[in-house]
Amino acid sequence: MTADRRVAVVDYGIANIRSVVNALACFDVEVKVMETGAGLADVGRIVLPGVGSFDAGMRGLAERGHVEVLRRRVLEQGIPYLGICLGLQLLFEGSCEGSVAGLGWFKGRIEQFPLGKDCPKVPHVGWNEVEISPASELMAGMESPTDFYFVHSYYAPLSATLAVATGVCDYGVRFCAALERDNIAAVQFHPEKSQLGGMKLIETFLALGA
Amino acid sequence: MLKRIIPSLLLRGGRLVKGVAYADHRDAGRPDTTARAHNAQGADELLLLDVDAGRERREPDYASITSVARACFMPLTVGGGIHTLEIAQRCMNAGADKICLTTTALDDPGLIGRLAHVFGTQAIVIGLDVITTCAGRRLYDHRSAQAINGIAWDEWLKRAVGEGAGEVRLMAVDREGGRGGLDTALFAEASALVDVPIILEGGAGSLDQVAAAMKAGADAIALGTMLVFSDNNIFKVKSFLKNAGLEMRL
Repeated sequence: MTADRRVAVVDYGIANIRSVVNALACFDVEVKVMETGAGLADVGRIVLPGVGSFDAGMRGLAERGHVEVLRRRVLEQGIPYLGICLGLQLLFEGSCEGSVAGLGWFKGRIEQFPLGKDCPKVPHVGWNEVEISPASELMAGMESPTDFYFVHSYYAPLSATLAVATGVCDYGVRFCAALERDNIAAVQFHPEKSQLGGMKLIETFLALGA
Repeated sequence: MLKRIIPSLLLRGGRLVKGVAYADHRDAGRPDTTARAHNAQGADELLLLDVDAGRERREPDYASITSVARACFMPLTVGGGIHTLEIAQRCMNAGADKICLTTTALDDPGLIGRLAHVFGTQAIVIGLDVITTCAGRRLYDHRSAQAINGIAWDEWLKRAVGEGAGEVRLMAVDREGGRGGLDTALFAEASALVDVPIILEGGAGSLDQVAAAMKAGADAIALGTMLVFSDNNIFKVKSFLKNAGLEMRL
């Protein structure tokens, strides 16, 4: 199988990666679960899934030697990257959820949904509409809006993502549900749990840059 | 948020079963092919409960959980016999997204918090089996097939959510499999007590009953019998609800 059909799912110890592996395995690709950074050397695509806290996520990436390899392979060598949920948030400089610095590939900080009597319940769990920008490659050909499944309490603000946001969702505040820049794509929702729309997105990702 | 329709699958001996009031189980098909059909028809989530694990004091059927998870590109909640963090972790590794605790949480209420601490409250569903008789509403223990008198159902509901459950599965045991309609009064009583999403189950037998329960406030309904032993399917149910003016994802 050629390198661009070899997909690494980054395992950093906190995330439930099984559902992402199951979804990728539906397509004609070789899925490799990478428990350490060394395994990312010969793959053609990288998926960083994850539900969990920001600090635990960054510590997991650091302890397993993923941070430097991710930077080299994704930022320098430009192989396609798909971040899911925490895999979107970790791209930023930091989060009000914790104190550890993020990967910092994107400017800005992750914020928390407002809490209060008149605010929607937190966490934001369930299906919600995503408005898709015509500029999106990842969701090209999909109707806007399309429903995707969300589970999160923190979000990337649109103020920090105006130039890169290709999907916007409204949950009391409008936030960045998807972003794309060059070879980097990330979504706050869970395509692996979003049935047809999600599977279409994964299929498109697996063909990007091929 | 959109209203949710959730197939409720009961697992026994590697097969799905369905009964009446948690008894008289009949075979209801293969877990993986059933999950695949529900996935294709647009179920919003899936609930998979190993009905004998608790009673037989064994761990859940991980092989069946794995096969369902492979066919299920929607959130999967798994329950039955989960009485330790390690067992919950194995369910997650098999592909579960959420854990449903029912009797194991009654045996050990601290389990709710221990799991919520690791997986987050959004991943912990507290299951309440409530039986309504002339003596009122009481919790029900499916292992012994008896009502529980030690703690009132409403006290337990508040406590379990306080311990860290992020969602509730509320089963009206006396209505299960009876097709007589959902217990919307029970739903209303429960939602006045806690602030987390509640999935109502038990008694749905017709499309009109499901629509009526949703119009009465239920934002998520789990269906068992209606999907198994009738010509209804998820797409038909959700299309009907949407046409009835309810906010559904199709």
